[in-house]
Amino acid sequence: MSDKLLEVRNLTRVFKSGIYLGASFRAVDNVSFSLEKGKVLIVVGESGCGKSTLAKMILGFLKPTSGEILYKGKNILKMNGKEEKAFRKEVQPVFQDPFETFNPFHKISYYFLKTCLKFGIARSKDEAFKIIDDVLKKVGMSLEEVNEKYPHEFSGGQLQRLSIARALITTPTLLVADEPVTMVDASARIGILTLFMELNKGYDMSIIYITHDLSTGYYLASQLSGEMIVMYRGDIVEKGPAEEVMLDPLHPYTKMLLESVPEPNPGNRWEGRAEFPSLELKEYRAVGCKFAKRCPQAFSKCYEEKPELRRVMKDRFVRCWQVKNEMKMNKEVVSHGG
Amino acid sequence: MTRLHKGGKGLFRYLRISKSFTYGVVTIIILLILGYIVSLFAPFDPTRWGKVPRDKPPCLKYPLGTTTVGQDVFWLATYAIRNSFTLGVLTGFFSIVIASLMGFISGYLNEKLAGKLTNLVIDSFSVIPGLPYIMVLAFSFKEYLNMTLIALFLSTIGWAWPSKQLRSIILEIREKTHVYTARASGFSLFNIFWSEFLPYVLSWLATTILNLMKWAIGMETALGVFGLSSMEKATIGTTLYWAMNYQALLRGKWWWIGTPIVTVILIITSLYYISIGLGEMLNPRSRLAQLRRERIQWLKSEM
Amino acid sequence: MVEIRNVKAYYKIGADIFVRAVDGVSISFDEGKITGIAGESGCGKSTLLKVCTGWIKPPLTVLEGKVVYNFNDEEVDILNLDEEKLQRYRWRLFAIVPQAAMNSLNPVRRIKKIFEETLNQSGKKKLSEKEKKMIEKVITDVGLPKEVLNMYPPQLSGGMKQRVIIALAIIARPKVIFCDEPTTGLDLVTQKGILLLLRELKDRYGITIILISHDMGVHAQVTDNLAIMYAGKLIEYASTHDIFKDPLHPYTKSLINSLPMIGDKMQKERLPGAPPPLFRPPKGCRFHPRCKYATEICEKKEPPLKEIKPGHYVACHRIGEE
Repeated sequence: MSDKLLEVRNLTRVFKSGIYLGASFRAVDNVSFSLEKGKVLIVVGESGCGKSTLAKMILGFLKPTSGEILYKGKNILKMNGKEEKAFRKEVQPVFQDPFETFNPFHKISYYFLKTCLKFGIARSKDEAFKIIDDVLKKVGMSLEEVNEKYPHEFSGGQLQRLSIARALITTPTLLVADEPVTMVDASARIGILTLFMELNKGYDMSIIYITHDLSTGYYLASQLSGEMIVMYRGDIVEKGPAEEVMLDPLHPYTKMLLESVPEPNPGNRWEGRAEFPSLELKEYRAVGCKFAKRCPQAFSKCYEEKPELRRVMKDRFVRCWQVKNEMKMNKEVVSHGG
Repeated sequence: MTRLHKGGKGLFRYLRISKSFTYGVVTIIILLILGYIVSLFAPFDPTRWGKVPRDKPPCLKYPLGTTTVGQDVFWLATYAIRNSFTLGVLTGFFSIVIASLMGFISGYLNEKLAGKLTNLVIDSFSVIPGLPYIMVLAFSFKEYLNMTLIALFLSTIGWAWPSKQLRSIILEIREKTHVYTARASGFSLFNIFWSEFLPYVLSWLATTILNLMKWAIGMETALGVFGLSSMEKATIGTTLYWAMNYQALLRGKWWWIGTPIVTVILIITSLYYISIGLGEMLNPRSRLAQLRRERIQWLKSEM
Repeated sequence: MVEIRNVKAYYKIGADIFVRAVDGVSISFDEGKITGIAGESGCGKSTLLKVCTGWIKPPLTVLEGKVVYNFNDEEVDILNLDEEKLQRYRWRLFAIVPQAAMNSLNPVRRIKKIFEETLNQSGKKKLSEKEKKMIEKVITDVGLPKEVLNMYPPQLSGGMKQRVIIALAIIARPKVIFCDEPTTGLDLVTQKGILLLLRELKDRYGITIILISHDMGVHAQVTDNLAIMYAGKLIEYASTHDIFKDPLHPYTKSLINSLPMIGDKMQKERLPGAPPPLFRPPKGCRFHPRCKYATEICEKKEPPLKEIKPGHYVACHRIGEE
C-alpha cells in the first residue's frame, strides 16, 4: 500500500457536443499525477483547459471516460456505499463561485447543520452548533455573525470563507479548491490564501489548488513548497516543484503564461504589440502538439507528432520536442567542456 | 410551518395587487361551492329526463331555465361543474406524477442510459395528436366511460410536454454549484431533490397542474361535442351535445346552450389567471427579490 | 476631458432605503490618458460608469451633481440632457464596453449585421462604401481577420467577442471610452492582448479611456492615472506610478501590500473585516472601522479629498494633518 494519498492514472474525459452524432473533444487527455499526504498540488491553466473537469472527477462528481483515480489505494469508481461515504467525508470541495455555492433559498447555517448530521459528526442540533462555531472560528468568523443569515447578506470573500468552513466540518484529508479566489476581490484574496496555508501547515491537510491566476499560485507555492502541473487543452505540458516551474519555466506555454501575468508594478510594464490566440475547438483535435500553432519555437515535427511528457531533470517533466533538444544540447556542451 | 405561513402571507399580498388573480380565485371558489356544496342540495338527479316542465326560459323557479327533455339547467350545471373539476384534478394528479418521474429521470440522469431512454419516450409521446387520440380511445371504451377513465386516458399523453419542461429545469439546476455543495454535504438523491430542486420546481408544478386541469376540461368539452364523452353523466361536453342535438340555438333556447359555454369559459379563464398569478408568486427570481427586500427592511429596522 | 462634480447617485430599494453607491464623488479624467478606477465589488465603480454615460434608469437616481464633457471648446452636462440629445452623443462622444458585454452579442446575427445596425441609427437601408470600409478598418484595428465579419458570435472565442465589442465601441470615433471589467472571464494571454490593444488605441487615436477593474495588476500595466474608490467614495487619486510607489491612504496601502507577486516570497498581511453595506454606511470616514490608525475625528467627520502632493489627492484626516 503506497503512502500516496491520491493517484491519478491515465485519466481521460471525452465530451460529445450534440446528442447522437457529435463532435467529441478530450477535456482531460491522459493525465497522470500523484499527491502525498500533507502536500500541496497547484494546477495551472487557462479557462477551458480541463482543470474544472479534472476537479469534478477527483471529487467523484463526474465519471471519467477512461483511467483510474485511486484514493488511499482504492479506485473511487469501484467503491461501495460505505466506502463512498467515507470518501466524501475525507475529500471536500471549495468551489469557484462563492455566490452560487449556497442555495439562496436556505439560511447559510442549513448546509452546515446538514453536513454535521449526515456524516454523523454531531447527534443533535446543539452539538452541531458547537462544532459549527469551532469551524467558523478557524476561518475567522463566528456563529453569532452567521446564524440566521442568508447567503446574499455576505460578501464574496466571506462566502468563500464560509464555503471553506463547511468543507472543514468533516476534518477532511484532502481539500480540492477549484479557482477559490478568482471571484473574490483582490483585497480579500490574501486572507483566503493565508487560510489555506494555515490548514496545510497546522492540520497536515493536502490541498489541490486549481487556478488560472499565476500570482496566487506562486504565492501558495512559495509559502508551502508543493508541486505544480501546467495544463493546456487537456494535456499536462509541464510538471515539477512549483517554485522551480514558476521561476524557471521550460515549456513555451508556461513561459507565455508567465509573461502574460499583469504584474502590479508600473515600473515594469509590458512592451510590444497585442497578440492573440486562434480559435479554440480546432486546437483540441489537432494532430501533433496542441500548442504548436501558437508556439514561438515550433518546428516541423511539432505539427506532425505529439510529444510525450518526458522527464528532463530530476523531478521536472515537460511535453515538448524543443526542450528535450535543449537538455541534450546542454549535456553535450557540459561534457565537451565548452 | 413558517414556510406555509410566509406563503399564505404572500398569497394575500398578491390578491391585493393583481386584479386578475383575484378574479380567478374568487370565481374558482364560487364555482367550487356550486359544484361541490350546492350540488348536494339537488332535489333529484338532474340528468333524469322529464322531471321539470320543458323549454322554460330562466325565471324565478328555474334560474337557468329548463331543457327540451325536461331537465333543470341550474342543477345540471352544478353537477357538470363538479364533474369537470373532478376530471381536471384527477388528470392533473396522474399526469404530474408521471411527468415528475419521467422529467426528473431524463434530466438528472441525462448521460446515462436510463435518462436517454426516458427522453426518447417523452419525445415520442409528446408528438401524439391529442384530440384524435382521445377520440379513438373514448369511442373504443364507450360503455365504460366515466370521469376517472377519461382522466386516465388523458393522463397517458398529458404528461409529455410538462415532463419536457421539467427536464430542462432539472438540466439547468443540476449544474448549479449548490447542488454539488449538497452532494459534498452528504445529501442523498431524495434530499437533493427536496432541498435544492424543489424551490425551482414549485413554479412549474403549480402552473402545470392548473394547465392540465384546463386542458382536461377543454378536451372533455370537445369529446362531448362529438358525442364521445360520458353521455349519461352531466358534464359540460354532454350538455352541449344534447343542446346542439335538439337545436337549442336555432329554436331560441339560448339558456341551454349558453350555460355550458359560459361555465367552461369561466372555469378556463379563472384557472388561467390563477396559474399566471401562482407562477409569478412562486417564480424563484421574484421570491428571491422579495426575500432580499424583507431582509433589508428587517436590518434597517434594527438600526 | 470629463469632469464629475460632486455626484450623488443612489439606488432606491425601499420606501426610504437608499443604496448610496456614489456618494459625493468629484474627479476629472485627463484627455488622451487611460484612467483606472479600482475598488472592491460594491464600492460604486459600475454605478459611477452608469452616471458618466447617462445610463440612469430606476431604481438608480441622481440626487445631485454634474457630469461635464469638455470638447470642441464646449461644456456639456449630460445629466441635464433629454434622451434625444443624449442619443446623439452616444457612440459619437462616448462609448461603453459594459461588463460581460461579449455575452450580450445576439447569437443569431452575423457580426457584419451587428456593425451595420450600430452604424445605421438613422435607419438607412444600405451602407455606403465609406461605411463598409470603416467597419473593415476597425476590425483590423483590433487585430481580427476580415472573415470574422461573416461569422456568428457563438463561433468566436471570448477574446474575439470582446474585441468585436471594442471595435463596435470605437467605430464612430468617440472621444471617450468607458470599459467596465473588460477582461474578466478571459484567460491571461487574451487579457494581455486586450489590454495592450487598449493602450495601442490610446496611442494611435488619442482616445480617453476609463478602465474599471478590481485587478490592481491590470491597472499597473495599462493605466496612466488611478482612482481608488471605497464604499461609494473616492479616497485616493494620483498617477499610477505614485499610487504604487507611494500609496498614502491606509486602504490603498494595505491593498498594494496584499498583492501577490511572482518572485516575491514575503508573507502578506490581510485586511480584516469587510466593506460596509452601502445602505447603512458608517458615520465619518467610511473606512474607520477597519483602519488601524483611526482616531476620534475619523469616527465623526468625513475626510475631504485634498491635494497632498501635486496631482496626488487623498481623503484621510491623518494625511491631511501631516
